Amino acid sequence: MALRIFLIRRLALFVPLLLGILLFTFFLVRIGGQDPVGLIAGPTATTAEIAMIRGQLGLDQPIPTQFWIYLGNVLEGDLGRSWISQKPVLRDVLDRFPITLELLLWGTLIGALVAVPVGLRAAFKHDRLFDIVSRSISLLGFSVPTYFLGLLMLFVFFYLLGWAPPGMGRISLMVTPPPTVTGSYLIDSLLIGNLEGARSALGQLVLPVLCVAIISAAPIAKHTRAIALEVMSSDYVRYADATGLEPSARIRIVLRNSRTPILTFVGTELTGLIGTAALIEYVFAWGGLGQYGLNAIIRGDFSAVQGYVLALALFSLIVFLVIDILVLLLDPRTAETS
Amino acid sequence: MLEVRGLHTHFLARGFDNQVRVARALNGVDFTVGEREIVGLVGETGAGKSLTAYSVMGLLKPPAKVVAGQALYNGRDLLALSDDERRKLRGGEIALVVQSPKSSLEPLTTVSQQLVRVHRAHRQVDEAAARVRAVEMLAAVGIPDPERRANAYAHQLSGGMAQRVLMAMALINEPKLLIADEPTTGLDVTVQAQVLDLLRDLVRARGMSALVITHDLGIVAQYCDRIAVMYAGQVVESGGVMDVFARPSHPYTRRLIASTPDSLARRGGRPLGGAANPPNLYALPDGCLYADRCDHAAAQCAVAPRADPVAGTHLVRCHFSRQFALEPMA
Amino acid sequence: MTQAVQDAPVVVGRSVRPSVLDYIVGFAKRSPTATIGLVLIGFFALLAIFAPWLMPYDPVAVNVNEILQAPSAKHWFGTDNNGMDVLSRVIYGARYAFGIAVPAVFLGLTIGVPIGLYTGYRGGLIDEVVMRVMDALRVFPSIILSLAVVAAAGPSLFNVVVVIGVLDAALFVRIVRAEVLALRSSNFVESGVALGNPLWRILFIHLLPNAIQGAMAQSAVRGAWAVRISATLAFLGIGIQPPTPEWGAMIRVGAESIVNGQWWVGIFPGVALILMVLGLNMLGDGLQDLLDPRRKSGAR
Repeated sequence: MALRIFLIRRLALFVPLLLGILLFTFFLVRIGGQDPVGLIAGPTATTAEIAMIRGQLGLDQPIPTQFWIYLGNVLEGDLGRSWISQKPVLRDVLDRFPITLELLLWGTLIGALVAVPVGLRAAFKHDRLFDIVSRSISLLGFSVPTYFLGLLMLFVFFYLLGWAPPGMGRISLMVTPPPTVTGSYLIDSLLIGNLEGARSALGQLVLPVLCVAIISAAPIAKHTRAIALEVMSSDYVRYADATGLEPSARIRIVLRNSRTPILTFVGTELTGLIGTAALIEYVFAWGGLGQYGLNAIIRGDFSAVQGYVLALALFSLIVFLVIDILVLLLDPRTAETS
Repeated sequence: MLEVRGLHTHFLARGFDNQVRVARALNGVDFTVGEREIVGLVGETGAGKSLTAYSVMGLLKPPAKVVAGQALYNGRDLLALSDDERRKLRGGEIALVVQSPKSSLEPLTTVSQQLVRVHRAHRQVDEAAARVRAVEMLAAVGIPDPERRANAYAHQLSGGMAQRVLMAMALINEPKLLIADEPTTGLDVTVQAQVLDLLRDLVRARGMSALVITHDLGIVAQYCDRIAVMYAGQVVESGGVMDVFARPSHPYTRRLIASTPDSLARRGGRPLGGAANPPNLYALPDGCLYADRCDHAAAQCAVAPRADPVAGTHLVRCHFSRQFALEPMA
Repeated sequence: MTQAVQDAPVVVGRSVRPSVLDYIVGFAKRSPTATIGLVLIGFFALLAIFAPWLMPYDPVAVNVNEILQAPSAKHWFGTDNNGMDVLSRVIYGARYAFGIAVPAVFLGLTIGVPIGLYTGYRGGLIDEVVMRVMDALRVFPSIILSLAVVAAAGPSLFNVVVVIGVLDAALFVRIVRAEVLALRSSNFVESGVALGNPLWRILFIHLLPNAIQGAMAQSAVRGAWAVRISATLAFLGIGIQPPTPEWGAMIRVGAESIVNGQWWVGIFPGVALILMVLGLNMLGDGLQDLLDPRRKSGAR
C-alpha cells in the first residue's frame, strides 16, 4: 500500500522533471548557433535545398512552436533521424542500449563486489595499513582518465603480453555473431550453443569490463568506507559498545546500517558510469550507445545527441526510482515518512 | 562498590606547528559510589563528568587516553582489565543510560530485538526466553502495551519512551551499578520527572547502585544520596547531599548553589558568570585549578590543594574549606 | 566526548614561537595526503611557470627527420609522429592544465557561493526552484553533459572553462547552502540580524567565512575534475586540437601509435595528467579530512 502511494507520487514528480529534461535537450542543440542543416545537406547543397530541409525540420518556425513540435514528436516516439547512421534515432538507441548495458552492468558489478568489501574492511581497520593502502589505490583510481586506462590496458595486455584481442568490437571478425536475443553476444552465443562465439565474445569483454570495474571501484570503495565510518561514529553504535555486545554483533550492526546508503551510492554511481563507460566504448570500438553518443557529439549529429542525452536521463530516472523502491523495502523509516 | 582514584585522562593532538598538545581533561578524579547508593556527579559542560564515566567503562577512543588512576569495582581495577573482560562487565554488571535515547537505539532493528541482543550477549538464555524477559522489562519501565511496543522501531517512539527503552536495556541483565549520563536532557520537564522517579524506584527496588551525571543541582538534591562536584577534571567537593547543601565548603560549589537550580537548568549547563571561559585544558595552572575564577584566591592557591575532609566523608579540595564550612551562604 | 577538547581554546602553552619549519612539518604530519598533493601541484606549477626555460625544444616544431623516435639522451621522452619533442610538450601542457582548472573553479566559486549563501539563508521559492534545477541536473552524467554542451556551444577554450565553471557552481551551491542551513540559527547570525545589518553583510561578512570551508576543500577536487574533463574533450577532438601541446590532445595522437608499440607518445602525457589530477585529489581529500576530524580519527 505504502509502495503504491509512493510510486504514484514519484511518477507524478517525473512529469515536470521530464519536461525540464526535454527543454534541456531541445536547447542543447541550439545554444551554439550551429546550423544542423548545413551538415545534413552537405557542402554542395544549394540555398533552395537548404531552405527546403529547413522547412522539413520545422526550423523556420518560431522557437516555442519548434519546442511544441519537438515535444509532440518525442511523445510519438519520433526522435528524428541520425544523419550518420541514416536511421531513426529511436531505433539506434534501442539497438545499442543493451550493448552498453552489458559492459556497464558487468563492470559495475565486479567493481562493487571488490570495492564494497574493501571499503568496509578499510573502515574497520581505520588508519591501519590496509586502510592507508586501499585509500591510496582508490585515490589513484580516481585520478586515472578513463580513456587512458583503456589505452594502457590495450598496450599491456594486447601489445606487450598478447593475452587480449585487439580492442575492435564485441566479437572477433572471424566469428559470425549470433542472432540477437538479449543483445549480449556472450549470452546469445551460449543460447545457441556456439562455444567458439561465446569464447570470442568473452575475450572481447574482459578488458573493457575490467576498465569499467576499476573506474567504478575507486569511488565505491571511498564512499563505502566513509559510510561505514559514519555509522561507526553514530550514537547507536557507541551505545552498542556500552552494552558490551560482542565484536561480531557490532560488525553486524554496522553492516546493516551501512547497507542502504551503500546501495544508494552504487546506484547513483551507475547513472554517472554510463557516461564514463562511453569513453571505454570509444577506445575499444565497442559499438554501444556510448560510442554512438560520443560520435554524435563529436560530429554534430544533433538528433542523435538529443536522443542519446534523453536516453541517459531516462536511464538515470529509472535507476533512481529502483533505488528508492529498494530503500523503501529495506528501511522502515522511509516507509513510514513517505 | 565503585571507587575511582586519581583518574587522569588526556587528549593528545598534534597542532599545525608540529607540537603535540595535551588537553588535560581529567586531573585526578576521586569519588566513591557505595552499595545501594545513588551518587550525583555535577559540573558544567566540559568539567569531565561524562568523560569520567566513559573512562571508567573503557569506552574511550583515541585521541582520548586514560594515563593514570584506578577504578576499583568490587576491588577489581576496571582500567587494568583486558578489553574482553571489560566488555563482559559492560551491559552486564555495569550498565549505562545515555542522554540521546532516540539516536542511541539502532534504527533498523526493533526494540525487542535490541533488548534480546543485549540480554543474550551476557546471559545464557534462548531466544524465546529472552524475548519474554524483554517484554517484561518494557512493562517494568512503564511502557504501555509492551507486547506491541516491543515490535516498534526507534523512530516510532517519543523521546520519553525511547529513554524508558534504554532503561529497560540497561536493567535487563540486573546490573549492580547503573551509570546515567544526563538521562533527561532533551526531554519535556514533566517527562523528566517521570523518568527520574522511575529510575530511582527501579534502582532502589533492585538494590543497585547508581551514578547520575547531571548539571542540574535540583536533580541531585531530589534523587541522590551523595554528591560529587566536578570542576576542570577534578572532584572539588564531595559528600552526603545534606552535608554539602547545608555547608558547601568549596567556592565553586557555593557559586553553583547560589545561582538557583532553576537558572542553572535554563542555562543548559553552560558556564556560570565570572570568567566566561571554561578552564583552558591545554594550560592548566600549577596550583588550584579554580584559582583564576575564584573570588577568594590568595597566595596559598599557587599550591594545589588536596581533598581534605571538613567533616566525616565530606571532602573539599580548597585551602580555605574550613572557613567556608563555617560561613553561611549569603 | 569531543566536547572537552572543543571547549578548550587552543592556545600554545609555551613561550618559544614555532618556526615556519615547525608549521611545515606539523602540517605534513597532520595530513600527509594533502602534503603530497601540494608537492605534486607545486611541481607542475613550477613546470608551467618556467616552461620556456625548462623545455629543451620548441614544443610545436615539426622535425621530419626525427619522427616517432624512442626515448633517448637527445629526446628523453622520445618524439611524436610530427617529430615534436614529447618532453617539451609535456612540460608546456602544464600551462593548459592550470589555464583551464584555475579559472573554471574560480568561476564556479564566484557563481555558486553567492547563490548558495542566498538560497540557504533566505529559503522560500527561489531556494525551491534552484534545488529542483540541481536535482534535475543529476540525471545527466556530468561528463556527457559537459561534452555535449561544449560541443554544441562551439569547442573553444573559453566555452570549456565556462561549462566546467557552471557545472562546478551547481556543486558549490549545494555545499554552501547546506552549511548555511546549519549556521542560520546560530548566535552570531541572529545577533547580526538583531543589530540591523543589511542582507549582504549577513551573507558575506557573517556567514561566508564559516560556510566557505567545505567549498574550499572541494575546490581542489573540482580542479582535478576540470583538468580531467578538459583533457577528455581534447582527447575526443572537441576543443583543443593537436598539435597543440595539451595533454589530452597528446594522448589522442599517442593512441594511434600505442598499439604499434610507440608507447612514449601517449604514455608520458598520460602520466603527467594522472599525477596532476592525483595531486589535486590528494589535496582535496586531505583538506576534507582536516575539516572533518571526526571522520578521520573516529574519536568520540
